[in-house]
Amino acid sequence: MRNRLAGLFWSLVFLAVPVLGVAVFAVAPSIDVWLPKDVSAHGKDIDSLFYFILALTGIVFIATEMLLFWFVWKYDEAARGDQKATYIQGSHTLEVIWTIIPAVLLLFLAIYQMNAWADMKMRRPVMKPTVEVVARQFEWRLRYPGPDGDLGTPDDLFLVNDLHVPVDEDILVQLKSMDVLHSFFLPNLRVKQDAVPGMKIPVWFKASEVGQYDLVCAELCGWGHYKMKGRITIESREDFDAWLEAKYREQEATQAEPLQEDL
Amino acid sequence: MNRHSFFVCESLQRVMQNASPALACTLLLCGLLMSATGCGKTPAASFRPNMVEAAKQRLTPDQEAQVATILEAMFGTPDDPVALPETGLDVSKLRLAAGPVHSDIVGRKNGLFREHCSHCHGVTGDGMGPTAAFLNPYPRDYRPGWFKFKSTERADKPTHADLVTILNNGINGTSMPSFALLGEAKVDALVEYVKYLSMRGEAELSLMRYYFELDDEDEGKLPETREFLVEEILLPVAERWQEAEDAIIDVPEMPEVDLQESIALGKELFYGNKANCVKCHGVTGLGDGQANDYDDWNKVVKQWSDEVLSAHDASTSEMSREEKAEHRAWLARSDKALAGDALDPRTIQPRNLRQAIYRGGRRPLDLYYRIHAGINGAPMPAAAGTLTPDEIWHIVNYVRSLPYEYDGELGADRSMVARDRL
Amino acid sequence: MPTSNVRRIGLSFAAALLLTPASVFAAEWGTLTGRFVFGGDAPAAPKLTVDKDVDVCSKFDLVNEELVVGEGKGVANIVIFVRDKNVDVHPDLKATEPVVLDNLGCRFFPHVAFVQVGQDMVIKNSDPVGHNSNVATLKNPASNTLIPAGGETKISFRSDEAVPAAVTCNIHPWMKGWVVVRDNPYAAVTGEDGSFTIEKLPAGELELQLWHEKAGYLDTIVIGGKKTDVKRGRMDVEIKASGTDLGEMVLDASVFK
Repeated sequence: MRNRLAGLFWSLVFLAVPVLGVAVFAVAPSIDVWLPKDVSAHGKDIDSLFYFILALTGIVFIATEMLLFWFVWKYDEAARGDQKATYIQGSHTLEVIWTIIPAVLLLFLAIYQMNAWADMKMRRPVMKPTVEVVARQFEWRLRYPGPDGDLGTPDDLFLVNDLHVPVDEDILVQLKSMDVLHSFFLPNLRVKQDAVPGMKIPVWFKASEVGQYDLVCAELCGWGHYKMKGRITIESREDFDAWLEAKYREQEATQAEPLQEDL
Repeated sequence: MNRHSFFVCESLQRVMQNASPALACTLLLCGLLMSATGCGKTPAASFRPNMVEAAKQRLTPDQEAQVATILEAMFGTPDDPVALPETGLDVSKLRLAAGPVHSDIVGRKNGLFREHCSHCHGVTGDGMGPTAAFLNPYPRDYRPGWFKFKSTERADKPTHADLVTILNNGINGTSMPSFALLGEAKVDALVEYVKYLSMRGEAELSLMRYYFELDDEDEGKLPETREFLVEEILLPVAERWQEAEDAIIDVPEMPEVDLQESIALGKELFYGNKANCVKCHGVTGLGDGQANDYDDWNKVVKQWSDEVLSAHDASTSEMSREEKAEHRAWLARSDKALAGDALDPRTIQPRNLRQAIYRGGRRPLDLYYRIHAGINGAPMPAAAGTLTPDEIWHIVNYVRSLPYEYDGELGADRSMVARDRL
Repeated sequence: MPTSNVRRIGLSFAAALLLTPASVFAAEWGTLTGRFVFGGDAPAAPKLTVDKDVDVCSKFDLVNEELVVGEGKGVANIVIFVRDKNVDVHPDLKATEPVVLDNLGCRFFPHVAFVQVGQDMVIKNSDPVGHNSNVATLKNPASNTLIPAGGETKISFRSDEAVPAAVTCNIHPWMKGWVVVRDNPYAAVTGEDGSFTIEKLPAGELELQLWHEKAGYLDTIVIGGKKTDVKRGRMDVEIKASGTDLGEMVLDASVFK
């Protein structure tokens, strides 16, 4: 007779996967490794999609893992003695079932998320860009259109890494890359978009709360990828306008004066 | 090797002694892997000698060793920097920037230079870090003490604030990114360390060049007196850095004329024989007027490699046996220095003025400084004295209008607008 | 006049007044002359490629001036200067006039200029086109000034240079000249015939430095048919009050390769 312990061990290993998996998700929010604080208007849609998909895949995951555990436990060779397994040459019904169920689920997800996707990637607000962001190894070069609202005119304001936007307003970012693939990622605003050399990609969002958050690169873009970090400051319209004006005055300086270091 | 990985190695070895053969084998494998990646004995970081200058000055091994000894006494090592009071440098800032990356006893991050700068600029500040060869333009080599973008006259050093500005804004158009988010204290420490590396590099150069000036009775050895080392070598370098703080260019107010009028005047000067901008920046302003010049860093390597090349071709028939051997040794050493201690020289392109990318800053003030003082280390000459301040301002206005200049007509001086080119 | 010498002379006067009426200057002064000639057939100077301001600069038939062999095979533009520090300076040799380096005919004139520490050097532009003059000094702050047609600029040097500094024009890449910066007046550049004269040197032993832009420091010279090694271009001479003539010194063609 084979060692009953081995069968026990392996079945417990398979049991540990769903148990630990669920435990990790249960603990994560309380140790602050969960979704960062959402300060965007559309973030709720994204987050609820995320939770929905998490729940759906979670159920499938737990069910599959439990099944695995149960099979390893139940049909352990040592426990069943000499009893032989039955040989089955495929089951058409079963295959149809396990193809159709995931297909239906995926199709459902594809349709269910369409609206959120369209909101984020297709229904662009009709407006001129608020700011142009040019990603390059390893920083974010920013250009604001200035009072005339047009990019590429002499009143443009040039900055680096220090993105400011007004709160509760549609923001349209024109995203470019100067060298390689980068990804413009604002975790708190639930925005992530690849920057592709040669393309001008529109990205839009609406911030719902003032504060300062990270702007990071989410596409491995070279050895300095880890340090390709900027900052987004969400502020009231008045503060934003005052900031723009101060920065513009600094840019147009004809005399040396102490730089206003408000970084 | 840092302390952390040392402990890992140590405990690994201890476990090995008590483990079963199978476990031992697995651990051994891990151990081998680790020693290959980081468990071996790593030598302490050291500054790289300026081999190009040493070969150029034909220094003997003894002389190279003497330079290294003197420099270590005056400046310490990358892990333990020393700054004599004459340098005017703040040692506490240097300590924050120097050394391997680690947190000190109060949890403050140390080793900033190696964390953020040495990939490109090298531990020595010679502009030859591991990524340097991939970049265009090459990272700055601090050792000759030339800096391009500053508020002082062409030959003067930059002020502390000038270097802080560069670190905060980065240099658009090059691979130098912005470090503003590091915060004031860290940027300040890094600037101090850049000054330190630059002073060290300049002191090294003047030590190496001094051998030529020695008299026969010195027997090829530099005097190691404080008087010589401090007065003759260190002070002339350090004083220039200290003088810079009070040598900011005085910029008169922009003349109160209509902007369009000023742009028109600037355009006339740009194309005219007096300011002559067009010769290098081209009739189109695209920076295509002069394509075969070098900046001073590359020129040093270029001229010297030409010299070595022609020495390779030179006939040795007139030489005695010893001379021949010496000549061959020098050639071998020069080739080695050119291959391993210098980057392939590259030509410098005059700035394309239609891209709205200004490396040294886009403020009218920055452009005034550039035109007034020229750009140290680059072919751009100083216009001060030749052009009046008003004329410089007109050129500033014209140059700032160039990225946006178009009226639908292309021509010799109305080229395609390149502002949207990346 | 260099400040160190001013101070020296001032102190010497004080000492002279206090002690004896005898002067501490060298008692006697002598003139040094000599001539460098090219050993072998003089090579033809290669023509320069003129690709900037062609309408003006191509008129001058510019040639490479790295090695100029003039009449009687004399080698021009060899620099001879006294190496000794704090050498006694004849009171007549006060440098008051500025040295002029001209951008003339799309080349630098003179090809090698000699200037003393503290003395002004006027770089002017007699051409109808703009130039800039990039002076690549090692010990002095390097300068590069824009000089429009008919314009000029004035520079001076705070310390001497152990090697002559190259002067270039970034607009016209073929232009190259040299500046010798010394802290005493005892230097000369050979003329077209290869000869030079340094006047009013203090009599006695002096050490000369010999340099040529193509050859670097001249270390092999044939004097009186005998090959003489001059280590690192340094040559000891005895200056006699009656004058010292180094005679004809032959530089073999191989020196310039």
